[in-house]
Order: sequence, then structure tokens, then C-alpha cells
Amino acid sequence: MGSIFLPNLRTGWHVDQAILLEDDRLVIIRFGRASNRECMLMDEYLFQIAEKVKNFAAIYLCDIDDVPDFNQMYELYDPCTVMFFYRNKHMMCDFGTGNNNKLNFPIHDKQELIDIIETIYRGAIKGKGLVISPVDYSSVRRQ
Amino acid sequence: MEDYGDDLLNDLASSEDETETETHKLNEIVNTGVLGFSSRVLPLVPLLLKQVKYYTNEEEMDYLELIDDGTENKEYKFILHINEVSHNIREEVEELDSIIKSQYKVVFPELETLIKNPVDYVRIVKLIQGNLNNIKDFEVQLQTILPNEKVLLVLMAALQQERKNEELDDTIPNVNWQEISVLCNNLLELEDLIAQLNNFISVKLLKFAPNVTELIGPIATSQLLLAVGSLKQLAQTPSCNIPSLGMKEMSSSTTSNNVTHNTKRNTGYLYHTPLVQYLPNDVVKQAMRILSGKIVLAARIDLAKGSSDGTIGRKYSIDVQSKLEKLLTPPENVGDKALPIPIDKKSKKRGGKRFRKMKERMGMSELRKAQNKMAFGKQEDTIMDSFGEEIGLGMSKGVKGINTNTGAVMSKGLANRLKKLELLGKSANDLDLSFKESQLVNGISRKRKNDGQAHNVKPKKLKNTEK
Repeated sequence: MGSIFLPNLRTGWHVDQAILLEDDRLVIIRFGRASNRECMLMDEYLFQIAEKVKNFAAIYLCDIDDVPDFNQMYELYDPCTVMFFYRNKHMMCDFGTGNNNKLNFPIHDKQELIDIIETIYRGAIKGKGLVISPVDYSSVRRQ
Repeated sequence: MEDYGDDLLNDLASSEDETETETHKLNEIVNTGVLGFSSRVLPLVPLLLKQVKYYTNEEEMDYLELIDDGTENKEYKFILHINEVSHNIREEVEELDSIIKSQYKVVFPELETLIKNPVDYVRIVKLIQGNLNNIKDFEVQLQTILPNEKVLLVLMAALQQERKNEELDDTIPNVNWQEISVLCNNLLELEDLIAQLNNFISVKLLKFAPNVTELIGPIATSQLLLAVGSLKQLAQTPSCNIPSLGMKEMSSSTTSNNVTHNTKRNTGYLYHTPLVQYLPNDVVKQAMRILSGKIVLAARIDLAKGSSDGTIGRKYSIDVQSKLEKLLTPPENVGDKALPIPIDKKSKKRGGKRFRKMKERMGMSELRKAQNKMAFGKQEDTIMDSFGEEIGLGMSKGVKGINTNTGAVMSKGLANRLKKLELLGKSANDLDLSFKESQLVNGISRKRKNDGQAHNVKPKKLKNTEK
């Protein structure tokens, strides 16, 4: 259901505009395939928190099959990847997984997601490019 | 019910001696039934009506008597009895209705589904009987019983039924119209009786308890009065007890582990009042609570003979209804509240006199600071504490001034002990090691003590904890 209600970015231009035009909010883009189970779950969680974090984060969806422009640049090979941007800057987050560029593992807790978003936002407004995730996911089993 | 019939008969008989012979006659009639139906109430109808008439005409009433102790008054007793009778009459009406329906089914089965109200049903049955093919002739008469659209429905259904019967070449089976019409008359008579009794009760109670009656209607009022005994007692009943008045299944459900255990609490008279009856289950409890509070208030007003035209009762009724409406309105759908922007604001708390004082109190004393310093090229003075550890004194020897910020006060006991030691003379060498040590550590204190201001000295204990 989340994939229907969250705004979908249909072209590369839309993605660019979404990242560029947001001035004081974090831009969160889920790159993935809405047909994938893992991705559906992530959409659902994102949709559930979208209303709560709307003051400091905007959540968008982007289908990597419809918009393949970024696949190579951002290495979007996973079924579901969540990336964070702030004022046209890519925000990195140390999840303990080794890949600080994106969130490409499932998170099954809304509050954890909110905490991550808040942490990244705090770092972003202080001008940091890399923040450390409040939860360490190095021991979380990858699917 | 049988018991009840006898009871009532006895009751009425004893209340009016002249009716005694009549009741015996009536008892004989009781057993002559039609179609397996024998009424227990019908024979009592004339008696009841007579009583109703008797009491209706009786203008002079001592209501004070009712208020004080209702059980003594015959009329009051009669009113209370009517409750039970009306319950029995209802049961009989249902029974009659089902018998008539089962009889009339063979003629016009669809009528049962079209007309739910037993009175209307019976009137129609009486009117058209078996003449389904001539139903058009009854149209005008039907219109007096039913609304126009219902009349149309009945007419069409009847014609259809007639055609069906013709197709099947089905002649209407032998139906004993006489018996059916007797039953119909019985039912109508009972309905009429109910109406009369209700009317009687409402008229009486309007005089007796106008506000309560306005609030919950005459039937429930009389039921409650029956349950508690009198208006005075109703006014004294705690409102939380009122919903449980008139509960039926209480004893049966507690004594035997019935499968039909009553899940709802407090299904008493109040639960069955029209105001509460049709409410959804989740507000019933609250509705009864609201209502019973107002009932007791209204009863008190009635007891005090205030608002004899029932205006306050009506006002309460409106209040209760508006409250119930509020209860029934669904909650507003409020979406998730957005979280605040997570900006770390700096603490607004800065320094200040009080804050500085607090910091000074917690901070290091001058003496301690000095103790931590060492002079170059000199051997440090040391002492041994009670654990055998060597403690360096650093540059604390020359420090003057005592830290007064701590707010430490010497206890009386300690002050006395110090005074005693002083009186013993300056034989400090005899004192125990720890005391000596403390004297050394705060050399100033010794000086002060010598000045005779021992109470200003920091307690020994505090000094030790500072280490």
C-alpha cells in the first residue's frame, strides 16, 4: 500500500528535481522494485513513518527498472535501497555494514527508521557528510 | 405465570370483596380454550378494567401515604401489580400471534413477512380472511390500517398468491374462521388492555412522580418503584444501584453453570427502557450510568414535590439524550502527529549567582588545591593515615582562609567533643592518630580553634571524605 501513497519519481529528471529543490528537509529516496517482497515491506514502513517525519524529511520512491539512470552511479543492485540526501548532497551513514552510502538491508522497526532519519538530519544540518547510525547493524543477518 | 394468575386473582379478590364471586366464575371460564390456547389473562380483563376505572375515578388520593410507605396503599399496590400483568399480557399476545400466524399461513403465507406488527396483522386477517381474489374490495378499509405503500404491497402479494393457488388448483384448505376470529379478537382485546393499563399508569405516575416519568417513561418508572418499594426509597437509592434493579438471571447464572451465561452486566429494568435498549453495547454501561444519576435526582425532586409538571424531568431527558448523542458520535480521525524537527538546541542555562555558589560548594577547596601542589627542590611533608598510607601535604602548610562556601556546619556533638579536648589541655599528643591527622590537614582550623571559634571549623568527617 505504501508504494501507492508515497510520491513516485518517474524519471531521472524528477529524481534530480526532488533532491535539488528540497531546501530544509532530508530527501529520502527508496530505489527498488515495488513488486519485490522486501521492497514492499520497506515501502510499508516508510509510508507509516512518512507522516511523522514530514517536518524534516521527504520520502520518495523510485523504480530502478523505470529509472535506470542512477543504477550505475549509485550501484543500485539490491531489490531495495534507501538513500539520503540533503541540499543536493549525498548523506552517508555508518550502519556498521561496511556500506555507508545507502541503507540496503531490511529494517523491521519504525522507530529505528525514525531514529536513523533524525540522526542523519542532525548531522546534515551541522554540515556533516557522514553520520554514525544510532543502531549498529553489523551483526544483523543479511537476507 | 399460573402462580401469578392465582396471585393476582387472590389479590384482587381480597382488595375488593364483592368481586370474589366473579373471580370464581372466571376461573371456570379459563379452561375453555380455542385451538389449544387458553388465556390466563383474558378472564381477568373485566376485573382489571373495573379496578382501573375505580382508581381512575378516585380523585382524592393521599400521596403522602405513598411517599412514606407505598406498601400500605391499595392503589399503589395495584399500579405495581400492573407491571407484572403487562408482562404476562405481552407473553400472551406473542403466543396468540404465533398461533394465528400458523393458522393463516395456509391461506396467505406472505402476509407474515409483509406485516411485522401483530396488531396490524390480526386486523388484516380479520378483514380479508379467505377472500384473496376479492382483495381489491378491501382496499379502502386496508388504507385505514396501513400506509398506502404497504396496502399496495399487500394487494399485490395477495393477487400473486391467488394466482399461484389457481395454478396449483389448490383450494383453500378448511380453516376454522370462527376460531381464528375469536383468537384475533382476543389479541386485539389484550392489546387494548395493554394500552389502557399503560395509559392508567402514566396518568397516575404523572401525578405521583412526574419528573422520573418524563425521564424514563411510566413503565420503567413503575418497575423501578416496584423494585425499591417507594419513591422515598428510590430517591435514597445510590444511583450506581439502579441499573441492577430488576435483573433476572443473576441467581440462575451464579448457582448453576449455565451455558447461556449472561455476558452483559446489569440487564435490569433500566436496560430495557427504550432510551437504553437500542444503544450499541459499548455505550450502554455509560448511558445507564448517566441515566440512573438523573433518575435519582428526578426522584428527589418528585419527593420534594418540586416541578410538578415534569419540566425538570423533561430537561434531564434532553440532557441525557444530548449526552448520549455525544457518546455515539465517532471519534475524530486524527492522523499521525508529525514529530518535531530534531534540532539540538543549546541549553539556555547560563551562569548566575546561585549556579556559581553551587559550583563553589562542590568545587575543590583552596587547601586541597594547595595540597596537590609541590614545591621544587624541597622534601614534602607527609603524614600517615589510619590505613598506613602515606599522604603528602604538598604546599598546604602556608594556606590561609577557609572554604566557607560549603555551608558545612559542625554538629553539636562534634563541637562538644572538641571543646572537651581543648579543656583537657593542649595535650594533642595523646589524641588519636586520625584526629591529629585532621588537625594537620586543616592547619587553619587549629588556629581558629585556638581563637575559641571551634564551631566554625569544618567537621573532621567532611575533610576525610574529600580525599
